[in-house]
Amino acid sequence: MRDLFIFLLLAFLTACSSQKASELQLAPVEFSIAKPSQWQMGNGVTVLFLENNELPLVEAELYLPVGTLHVDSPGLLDALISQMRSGGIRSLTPQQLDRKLDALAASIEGSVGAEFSSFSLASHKEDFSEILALFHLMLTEPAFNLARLNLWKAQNLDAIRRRREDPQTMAALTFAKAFYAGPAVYTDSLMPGDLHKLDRALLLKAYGRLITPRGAILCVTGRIQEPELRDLLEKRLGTWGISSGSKPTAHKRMDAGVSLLNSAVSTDSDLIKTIPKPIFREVPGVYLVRAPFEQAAVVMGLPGPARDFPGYHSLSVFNRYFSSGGFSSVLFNEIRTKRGLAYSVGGGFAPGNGTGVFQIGLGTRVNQVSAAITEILTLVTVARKETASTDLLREIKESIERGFVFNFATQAATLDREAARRLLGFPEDFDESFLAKVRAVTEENLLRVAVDYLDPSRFVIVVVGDIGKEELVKAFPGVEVHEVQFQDEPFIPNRTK
Amino acid sequence: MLILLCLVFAPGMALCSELAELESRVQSFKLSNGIRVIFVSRKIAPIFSGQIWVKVGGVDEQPGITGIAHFLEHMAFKGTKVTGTKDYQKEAPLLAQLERIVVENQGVVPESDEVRIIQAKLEEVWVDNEFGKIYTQAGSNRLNAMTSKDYTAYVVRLPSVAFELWCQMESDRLINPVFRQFYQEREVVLEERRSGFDDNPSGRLYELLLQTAFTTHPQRLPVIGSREDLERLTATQMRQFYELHYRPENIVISLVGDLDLVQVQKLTERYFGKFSQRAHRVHSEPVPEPIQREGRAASLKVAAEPQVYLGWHKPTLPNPADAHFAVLHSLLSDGRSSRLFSNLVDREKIALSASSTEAPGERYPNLFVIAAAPVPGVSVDRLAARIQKELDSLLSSPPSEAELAEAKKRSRISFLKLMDSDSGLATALGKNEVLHGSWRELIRLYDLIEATTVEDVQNLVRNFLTPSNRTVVYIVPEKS
Repeated sequence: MRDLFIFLLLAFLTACSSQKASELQLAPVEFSIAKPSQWQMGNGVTVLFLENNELPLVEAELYLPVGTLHVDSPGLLDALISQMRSGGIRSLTPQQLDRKLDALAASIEGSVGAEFSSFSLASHKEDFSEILALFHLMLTEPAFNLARLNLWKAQNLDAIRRRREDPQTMAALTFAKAFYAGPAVYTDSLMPGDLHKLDRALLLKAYGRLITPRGAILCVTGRIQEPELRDLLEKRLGTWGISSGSKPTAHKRMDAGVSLLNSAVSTDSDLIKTIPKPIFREVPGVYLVRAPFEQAAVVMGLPGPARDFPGYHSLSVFNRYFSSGGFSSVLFNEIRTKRGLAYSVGGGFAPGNGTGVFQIGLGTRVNQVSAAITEILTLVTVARKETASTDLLREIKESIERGFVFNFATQAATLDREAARRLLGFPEDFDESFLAKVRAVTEENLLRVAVDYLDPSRFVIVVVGDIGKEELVKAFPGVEVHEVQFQDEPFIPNRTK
Repeated sequence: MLILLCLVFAPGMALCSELAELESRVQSFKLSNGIRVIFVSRKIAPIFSGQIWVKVGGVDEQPGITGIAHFLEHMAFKGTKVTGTKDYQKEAPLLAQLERIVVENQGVVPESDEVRIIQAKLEEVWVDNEFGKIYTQAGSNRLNAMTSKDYTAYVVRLPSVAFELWCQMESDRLINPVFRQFYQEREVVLEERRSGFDDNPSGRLYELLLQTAFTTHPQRLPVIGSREDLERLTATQMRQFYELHYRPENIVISLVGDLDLVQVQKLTERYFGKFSQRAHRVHSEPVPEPIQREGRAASLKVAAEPQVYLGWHKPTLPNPADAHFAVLHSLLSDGRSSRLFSNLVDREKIALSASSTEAPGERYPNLFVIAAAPVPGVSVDRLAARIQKELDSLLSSPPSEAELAEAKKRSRISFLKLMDSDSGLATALGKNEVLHGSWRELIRLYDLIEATTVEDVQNLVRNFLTPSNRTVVYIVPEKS
């Protein structure tokens, strides 16, 4: 009897060990999206707040509705945001300000994106009031210390020189020039000449026009209660934009190359219209930058739909299926796993403001560049004829549904997502309706996206590496191969049919 | 340990309340086979961070098999006897056949009809990327793995409902890995090497630093592997390496998130408890690196902007000097008011950047490293000399008590921020457990840092940061 029991046990264990993990039935992921408290300060700043008492910290992120796409002077917004932090304030030299923040073990840092910028603050809860006071002075009395500005310029000049050490950076910057005809916010990267033009007077002008509480969103989370926070914010930040006399005027343009339209009084959707629409060069082909890299960088792309595209959710599902689904994507499977052509490959649709882009990037050794590009173009061609099977589509939707919770993994993540939703002009019910809309995506929707937007003959393909033009001409008969110089101005490629 | 420098208390506090609270929340236990489990329940959202830490990395390699630990990490995503294949019974003899041919050809896959036929048959039974696909379908987030000099870690975040699936997947790949698609993946690793090192001036300079500073110890070998070794590695060698190092006593499971302790205990034992203990092996420690008696220098001529790395040999935990170096790091390069930035970059304007770190691993004595980029017109020699002078100045103008206290406060806040993330906390706990034998070493390190005095910092300059113990490597720009 005992032997029989052991036999049955062993049989059971063997069955267990050979069971596939995929056969486990997973329960649905149930969660609700935390609703932040929201109010508007007297100066117009919208505050979003979620209390979090786990640790004695407070974190804040001030979003400003101005990004590089609003400012047609390369480097100006980066310089402005960075120098508001590191250029000191009227009452403290840059060094004194740094010392004060380091002594409190607190941080205030700025960052700049395409459509909005932000300052992030973090400190111990006991120091938060003092940090807000310092931040208020940065917002209202930045000194723009000349030596710090010169240091920033020297560091950026160095970064420009170092671009030539990185094929991925070279490919991305060349792609912008090959893909867009303008405006400059899409085509131009920061160059030494731009740095020379940047001076303190220009920063002061930009500061006066761009740094305003109107349209700003302040996200706060941490160990602080709402009444205390409301009081503190009014006391510390409430006078920003009111007492300084620098209240910006609507519909003003900067006379020194800055054009931010209407940000002071606009609603979110008004602001989105102020971003210029890109003009595509529409010269498909291969653009080769010869550079001494054994490992080539490839960027290839096509114009894509905008953020308000009715089939937006089809794009999310298509990306997951074709190019951005990690181990599951068609590109990863075919290019990396089956062919061993690239360590990293990915991309997809990036719906933007007014228009968008479909872009794929990869790195591969120079003698396999042609094979990798050919394979990707073949996969694109196939995606226009056949798409994910019903089962695969169901699995993709399930994966999106189960992973959705990670957008709300922390209070800070929840707040940042809500701020981005508002700044990018997504509808109020975007998150609540997201999964239902993903569930409604059909195989026909995926095919439609591919047919409408992925014409393999229209790709702009940039290759950076130690590869001969002749090889590409031979590999892609009938395709224009342009050999271009990195960062040459203007962008006039030599054509070879 | 510098990364954990962050984890320190405010001055005067033997143990901050948050750390005491953390200590009370950490649950640790051993499975029947000796695998250690660390768990912290954290219910912010119905998710968890699951990490497997294995005590194997670059220092466990020898010339000839460099890169094998990292390559094995890649192969752990290729599946098992039940994942990644339609029929393992059919697949196994084909894999063996292919392996025999490659071994006979000293690691080269011959372009023969025989190989092509085997390959075609294998492709019929393989299910590409099934392992990753199962995770993706379960809603995984940040599925990844990393290999260092000291460890290999497999990390992922999942919804809590997928905890049993995680146990099943991770235990299966630890116990029953199948090295399929080995020779295709070898090409991928070579791609990774080319982009991260061969074509990357900073990567090459880092390799030069290790090769120059270490003459015999495996710290000198690249974790990614040399190209020559990678091109010849075989699945047979990997199987031997796996059996040597992937054993229960070398494995730590670190879990942080919305899970229950009972569930964690039950399911980890059920799945990971199946990993049989292996026969005892005599652990052969690498021969210690001979003491460096005079300064070394090497240069790299490459089409790139100038950079300089300076490295000094130093001890690691349990030597308390490791904690003192953590404090030194904070004084030198944590924040804009730190000494390297404020003196070399901001005031004297001879460097565009300057910062300190430690490399390449923590299990054995390593290097305290300062990396800097000179402003145009300043030679790397001048910058290197100025950095040495900055270190020497710690003797003539030592840090004040206030400066030291502020460095400790910065570290404490960084520690709190680490605790604000499931994966950050799981990493800190898992790494300390696997490298130092107990996650509590985290706390011991804080105590050591808290006890660090000005004299301790000065002793580092006297005993370690000397020109004779120093290695300098730099880029000599070559016109492209």
